[in-house]
Amino acid sequence: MVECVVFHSARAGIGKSTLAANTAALLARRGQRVGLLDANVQEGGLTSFFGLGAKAIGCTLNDFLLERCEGMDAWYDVTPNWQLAPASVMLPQAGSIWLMPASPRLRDRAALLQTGFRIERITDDLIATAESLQLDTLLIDTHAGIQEESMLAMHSLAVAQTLVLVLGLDQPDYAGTAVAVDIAETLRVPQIVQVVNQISMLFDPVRVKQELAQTYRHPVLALFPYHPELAALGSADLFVLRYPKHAITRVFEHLAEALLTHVDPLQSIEQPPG
Amino acid sequence: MSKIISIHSFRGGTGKSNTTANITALLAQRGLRVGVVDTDIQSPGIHVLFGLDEEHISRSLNDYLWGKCEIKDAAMDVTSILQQFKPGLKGQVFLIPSSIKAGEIAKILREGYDVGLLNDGFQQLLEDLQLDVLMIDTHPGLNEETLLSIAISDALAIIMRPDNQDYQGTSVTVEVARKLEVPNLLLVVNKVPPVFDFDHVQQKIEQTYNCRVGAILPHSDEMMVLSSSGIFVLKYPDHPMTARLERLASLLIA
Repeated sequence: MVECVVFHSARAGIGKSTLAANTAALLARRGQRVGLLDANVQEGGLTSFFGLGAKAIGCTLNDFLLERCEGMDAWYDVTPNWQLAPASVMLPQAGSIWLMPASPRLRDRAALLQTGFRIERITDDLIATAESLQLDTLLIDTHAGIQEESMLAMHSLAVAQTLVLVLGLDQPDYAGTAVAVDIAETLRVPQIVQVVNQISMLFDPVRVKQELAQTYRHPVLALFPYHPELAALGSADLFVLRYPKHAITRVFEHLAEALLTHVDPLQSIEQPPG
Repeated sequence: MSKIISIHSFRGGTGKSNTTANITALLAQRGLRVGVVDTDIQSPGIHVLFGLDEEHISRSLNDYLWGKCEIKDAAMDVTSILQQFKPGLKGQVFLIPSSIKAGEIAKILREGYDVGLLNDGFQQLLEDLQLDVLMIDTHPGLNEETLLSIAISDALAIIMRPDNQDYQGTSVTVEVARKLEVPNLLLVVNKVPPVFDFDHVQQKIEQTYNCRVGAILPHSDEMMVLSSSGIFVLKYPDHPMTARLERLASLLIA
């Protein structure tokens, strides 16, 4: 059975896609077959991490929701060229990454707004897709905030084992995170974790972790300081593969490891959410 | 002559509200009467920068759009809040917030509203409050209200980050603004990693989009620690970032 992890944040621009893409790369490097769904049908930009240009993309999630194609038509093999990775960081059996992108075309985004769509079309299809692609893990990147577009995220939560809430330390993050936690608890998502991103080096990380864990009742799995080298990549590449020995890559690895080991469906049945 | 200035970006999280609030404060410091409308009805946020929460806001843009009040009744004089940071601030600032009540946001998203009312409201505000400048903080993307606010603006700043995820949408937005013949169109590149060569970034962006860059704003630790709970330029008047925002403010009202 595929492990499904949803990445969500209250506010845009906080690094959801960067986290999802790099986590996918690390899991794949460990030999997993990883699916990556860009559920941000209005502003999604996951393709840029894999060098997939707009012209190379045919069917997308938008097309699928608009019933213009079948689910399998919109999944792309974006497995990195492992040959380019230094041998020292490679594990013997590298896996693969499959991406269902959101459409980069404005008219496809507008079409969803104009005609509307049945969200169940994608959530119903995900399990079948995961089986035919033999995915070990499915990562879902969502639209920020709880609004119309993020209905997709809410539906994904119904099939998810884990919700990763990405937040910065900014006022709008706080209220939004509380709402997202409430919704996820109501939907009985087995595991809810927080990841703090882009924080200033001026904050004390230990205190930040404690306070957030206390406030939102769920653990903080990782804490990423703002790092100019990561920002400088400008979403054009996978940081963890380009800088395999970087301190930030170690934080990514810790996160991937935690997602792998914490996600345990049996355990989650015994532990009621909240 | 009063001016309408819109601050927009194609994607979220670029720093629209922050830039809007800072330009507003800088213009008020010059003695101008400035109005700020939060047209980001779906995800309002600029009120936080003026230190306001749900308890402070009795009337909002939503009430005006529903015909419950005149738009000037939703305007809050927030000058005294700015004066806490900057005693003796000469100008005046009025904020017209969007509702932050979840139920009201849901209602307006569900039922929609007459976008034409926005334009009427803007004109009414300029007149009733005798504004020198009306600042419009928009919702990201290109929807009806955004197109309207772009179309009626004297100046438009489109904010982007130096990030591949922002490029395509920004170029579409620039095209749209050109078609709508915005008299004063500027790009603002925000959250630029300090490791970049800023002159080079400016050149490259101006070339690529064939559009003037009004400011290159570096990523700033101080800005992050302030975390939307205050207005940067008032707190750090001597910071190089403030000087960059000053230049941007001058370009926008030129």
